[in-house]
Amino acid sequence: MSTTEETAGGSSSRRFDRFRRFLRAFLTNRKGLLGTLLLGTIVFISVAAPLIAPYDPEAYGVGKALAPPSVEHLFGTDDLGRDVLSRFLYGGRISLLVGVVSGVVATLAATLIGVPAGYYRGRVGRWITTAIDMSLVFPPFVLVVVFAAYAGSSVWNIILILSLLSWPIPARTIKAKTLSVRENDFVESTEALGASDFRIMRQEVLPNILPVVFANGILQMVYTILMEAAVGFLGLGDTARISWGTMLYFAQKQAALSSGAWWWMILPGFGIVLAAFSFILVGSALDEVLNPRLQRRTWGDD
Amino acid sequence: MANTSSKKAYIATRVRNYLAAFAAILAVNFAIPRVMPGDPTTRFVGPGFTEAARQQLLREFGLNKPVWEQFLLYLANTLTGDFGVSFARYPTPVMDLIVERLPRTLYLMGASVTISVVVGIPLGAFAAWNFGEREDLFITQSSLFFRSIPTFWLAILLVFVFGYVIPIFPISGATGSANHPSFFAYFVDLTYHTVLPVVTMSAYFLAGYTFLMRGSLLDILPENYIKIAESKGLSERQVLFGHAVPPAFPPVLTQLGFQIGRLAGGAVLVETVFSYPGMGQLMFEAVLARDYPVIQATFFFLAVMVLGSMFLAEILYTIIDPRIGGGE
Repeated sequence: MSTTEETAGGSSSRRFDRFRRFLRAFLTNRKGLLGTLLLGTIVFISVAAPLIAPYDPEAYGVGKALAPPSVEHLFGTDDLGRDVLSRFLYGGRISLLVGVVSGVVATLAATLIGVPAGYYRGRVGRWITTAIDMSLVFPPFVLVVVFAAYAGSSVWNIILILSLLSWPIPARTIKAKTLSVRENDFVESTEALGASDFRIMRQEVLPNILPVVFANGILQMVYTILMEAAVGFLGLGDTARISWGTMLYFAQKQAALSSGAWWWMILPGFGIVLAAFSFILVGSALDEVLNPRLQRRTWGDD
Repeated sequence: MANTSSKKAYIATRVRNYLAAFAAILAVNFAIPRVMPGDPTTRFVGPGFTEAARQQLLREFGLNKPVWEQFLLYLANTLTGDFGVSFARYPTPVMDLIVERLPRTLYLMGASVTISVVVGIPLGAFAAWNFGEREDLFITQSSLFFRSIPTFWLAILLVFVFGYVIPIFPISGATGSANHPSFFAYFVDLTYHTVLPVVTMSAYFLAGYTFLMRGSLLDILPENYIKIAESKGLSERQVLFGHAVPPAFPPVLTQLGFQIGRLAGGAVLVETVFSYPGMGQLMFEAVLARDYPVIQATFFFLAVMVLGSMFLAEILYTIIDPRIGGGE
């Protein structure tokens, strides 16, 4: 649509200006601001967990078992008397790690496959596109369940599986964007000058699809974080280490809700919602800022 | 005429792609249990389990033949509907389990998709129509929020609120009893039991379609032909439903096709939490029990269901958008 933001190469000072403008637009966007604050907070407390967690997450009996939230234990305790809040903070490290890394790897794969799919017209492009479409047939979560149950449930296995299975949908989006960028004059002129395909893709196409790739990547992380929680919840994650999913797995096994210990299930779950929501806010704000639609309050006037 | 033959060529290409996808399903399905570490006999391991007994078991299940022979056997069996016998529920034929459960999962997924589309799309249109207004902001923020909720957590929440606190919906099973006086009674009972699972599954995707439709419509509303329609003096409703919504619809439909795979995955999760005896729950139990024939069969049928749904979505898309497949 709008080509005002797209340029060929560009001098570095121009790019810096564009980045500053983008940053300003992003941070004045309500979703972007809120999302960044929320995301920053969540990342910070996860990374700083060893410093700010009130208790050792593995320590049994630091409080009475199944004690409701109180001043000493903001999220209450679980069936072994462990502090739920501390476990949640530490659990975030694994869950966020899995979610972010899987999202990055999946987006990388989606870009490596999606760009050629959109760039190459003719047979090659069609073949790659067909490969992407065929991959959409396989229900990702089903495969995750199967692989996690058999290939072992270590953290890196889960990351690998999630990355391998979530790339097709972003690949399609990236392909679509590549297709539209490809039609631009400067791409064709570089082609006419005899540049190699690879060079064109890297220097002309890539910089212009990067906004879409980035926004998409953040949104993929939402999916991978939720999937990690689901896998852990089913008991297929690494139950020896604390993650948000495995916490809820134990809560479910001990029938937390029906035995009245609602804090054990509801609060960590709500934490996941907030974390995922922060990613979504950031991702959709990015999308709004980078792919602007005509900003009109009512579409009737002109 | 170039029009008809290029349309035929287009259909031929699409059908070819679907056949290729089907072949891929067959191949992947065969490969999965075989690349997994360990083999089915590991679940029988015990003190008296000698190597000879293990070989006997392998022979019984045909696992000691060379791979290519196994593959041909697998193809023949799959295409004739013979999926063998379940390890865990020996000697129930796997096909029996599938036949019993497939309709239930189909119903669950079908109901979820229908509700997501029927509620989500108008909601998205409404939001786009009131772009920037309070209604739009509310709908948009709520949709984003619902996309952040883990499906299983929502399921547990619903089980807790409507199963325990205010017990108005059943929280497990597909039907209350095995016998029903009529099909209608069965349908009612089934619907009653699936309210919570369907709501759980729909929440995530409904939010998605709302957002998609809103975005799609927002791309179209500034277009010239909308202004022309307006200036012709048509009512707001006529412009919206007659000129704006129809072109906004196809992109949402295509996205629907892609997302069905993720919907099938959601079914596994939801069925497990709600103890809903469908394909998803069967697959999960089979995975835990290392019941290979059942794993293969459920994966096959789930993938085929996804393929079928994508095909249906594409047909719908072609019917709605006559520009595809033909014309200059």
